Amino acid sequence: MRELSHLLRELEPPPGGLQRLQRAVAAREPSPWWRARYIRLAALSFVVLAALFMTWRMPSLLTKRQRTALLRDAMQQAITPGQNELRIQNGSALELPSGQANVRVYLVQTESP
Amino acid sequence: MTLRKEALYACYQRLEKPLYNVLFRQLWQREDCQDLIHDTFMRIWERQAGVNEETLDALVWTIALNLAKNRLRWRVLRKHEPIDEEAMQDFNASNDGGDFLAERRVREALRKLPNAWREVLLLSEFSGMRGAEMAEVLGIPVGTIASRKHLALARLKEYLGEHFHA
Repeated sequence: MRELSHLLRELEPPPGGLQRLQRAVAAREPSPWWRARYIRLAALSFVVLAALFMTWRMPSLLTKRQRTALLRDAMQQAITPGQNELRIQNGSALELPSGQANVRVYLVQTESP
Repeated sequence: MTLRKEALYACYQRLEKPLYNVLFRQLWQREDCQDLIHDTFMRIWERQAGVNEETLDALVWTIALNLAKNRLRWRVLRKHEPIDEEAMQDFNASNDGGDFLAERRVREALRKLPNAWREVLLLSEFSGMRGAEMAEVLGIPVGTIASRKHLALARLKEYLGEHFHA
């Protein structure tokens, strides 16, 4: 209940306020076209970053894998049963005294690629 | 706790008229009031993620009153005064040709009131809020609301004299 209704009459706000607000709110929202563009840009960025990472890391990964393979081959050759002598390819091996007759110990080293 | 667009628009429809009535009696400029109400709701929309719909009305009042205070402060600094006659034309136009002199007297009396008293008086007249709600919006104790309203009414009576009850 208003006490001063005889002094302070209720005024009507100018029309169009809500429409103005709705337009302003709509203008702040990204359109679907923009959203699709953002998604494409994000995907492209991901691909470029992934390619850069691979270019940077790939050579060292390949080298490491190659060394591991060579070492594995050299060890397999060294411990192949039925051979009295060592036959080493892509590396060298030195037999170390093991102290036991049925145990052979080799120091195996690959040739660096 | 994210504000929905529908809740924002519903709040605008609910509070536009009371806000306009309170703000017009402080700024006395139609366009300023419109802009201020618009800015209030846009500020709220810009931080929609942190807005609780249950306390939306109180937030709207708080922001709108703060913006009005800033606007009045800006006018004092710039020595800017709204054009009286234009404002009164707006006032009368929306009152179906009410008494120009009576409106002018009320306006002068309101302008002479301290801002804090006028704010409470206008809020209690138009906002539809209870004392506790007004206290929360203005950040003052409930007792202060009652005393400011009492003082504002007494001063208004003093300024308007016989016209107070007219």
